[in-house]
Amino acid sequence: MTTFPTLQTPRLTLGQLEVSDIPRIMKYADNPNIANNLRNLPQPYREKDAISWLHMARQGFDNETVYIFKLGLKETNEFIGGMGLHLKKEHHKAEVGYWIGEPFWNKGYATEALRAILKFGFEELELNKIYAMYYDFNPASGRVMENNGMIKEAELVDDEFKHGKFAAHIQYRLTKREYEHLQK
Amino acid sequence: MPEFPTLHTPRLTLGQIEVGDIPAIVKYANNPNISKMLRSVPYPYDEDNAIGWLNRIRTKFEQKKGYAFRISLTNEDGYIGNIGIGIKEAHQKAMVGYWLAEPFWGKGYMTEAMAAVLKFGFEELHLNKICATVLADNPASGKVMIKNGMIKEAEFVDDEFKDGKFLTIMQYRLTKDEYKALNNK
Repeated sequence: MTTFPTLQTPRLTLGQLEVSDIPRIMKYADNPNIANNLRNLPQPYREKDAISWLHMARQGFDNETVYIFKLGLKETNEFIGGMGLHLKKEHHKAEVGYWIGEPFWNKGYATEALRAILKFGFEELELNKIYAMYYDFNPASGRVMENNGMIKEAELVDDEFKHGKFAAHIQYRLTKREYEHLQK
Repeated sequence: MPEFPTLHTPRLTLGQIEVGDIPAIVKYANNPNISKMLRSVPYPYDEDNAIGWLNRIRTKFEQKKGYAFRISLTNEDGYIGNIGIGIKEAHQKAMVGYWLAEPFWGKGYMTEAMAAVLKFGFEELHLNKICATVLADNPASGKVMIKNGMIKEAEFVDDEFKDGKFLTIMQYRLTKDEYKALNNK
């Protein structure tokens, strides 16, 4: 792939993160309500963090290891969040990670975006497995996975020590076969 | 440099892997019945593999990131297998991995060794969680975990691709609280 892919959903356009998105990335990512739900989103979130994220996205695309999509509102292409596929090529699988700016929560955007990413991962990248994890205290993220027919395969108790407490990780997956079955 | 611990079980002694164990490691690891059960052991397995492994485990021990124990029958010095614990200090947890030489299978040795390593991990290293993984088509290894009261927490379908096949991996765990509950019975 030489051009970053663009994916369309009913309300969103998924495409390459642009330099012009940096102010909105900073505005939305600098939020402990988001950072708490993620493995390592720096807080406070500064311009250098956004630059580093863009760099990772560009580099990951160049060496075909990471596809980080901007989630943009269809009409304005305004940045509202990001969703990335992190490939483990030798095992034909990828992990999906995502976050949505708080003003855009509870509108089903992540569910919509994940549907497009699953399609891209299985049909374009020809992956065999796509999985995603969330902390047990963030069940809204789990619903995004469930809404897309993903299957819970792990409940990793006390998996991380975060903010002075142990947190559990829940993992959902879809294999290519399961994905194809859902499309029928 | 801290001293490497020695653990004792009814029939086994667990201690540091020595250079003198390399011939036995190569002899026993160079066995497709071993390598097909494990992700980290290639086949064929030669002296270079053993040296590389010894180097990794010694480095981890120096960094306090892991302990790899040789297993021998008490009163006999021969190497019959190994069990190791790799630590993620930030999360106070560890992963245990092991293999036993084929002539010593089916005697419950690994269940015994695992019990000693769990005790060491919780009581000496003060870990909060210890887990171990096993390939779905190696139920004998799963028994080692079940017999030690470990709880299945994951079944990672098609998680790895090895030798042209997708492998499903089961994960078992014990938390410190679960370990204490088992030992207070």
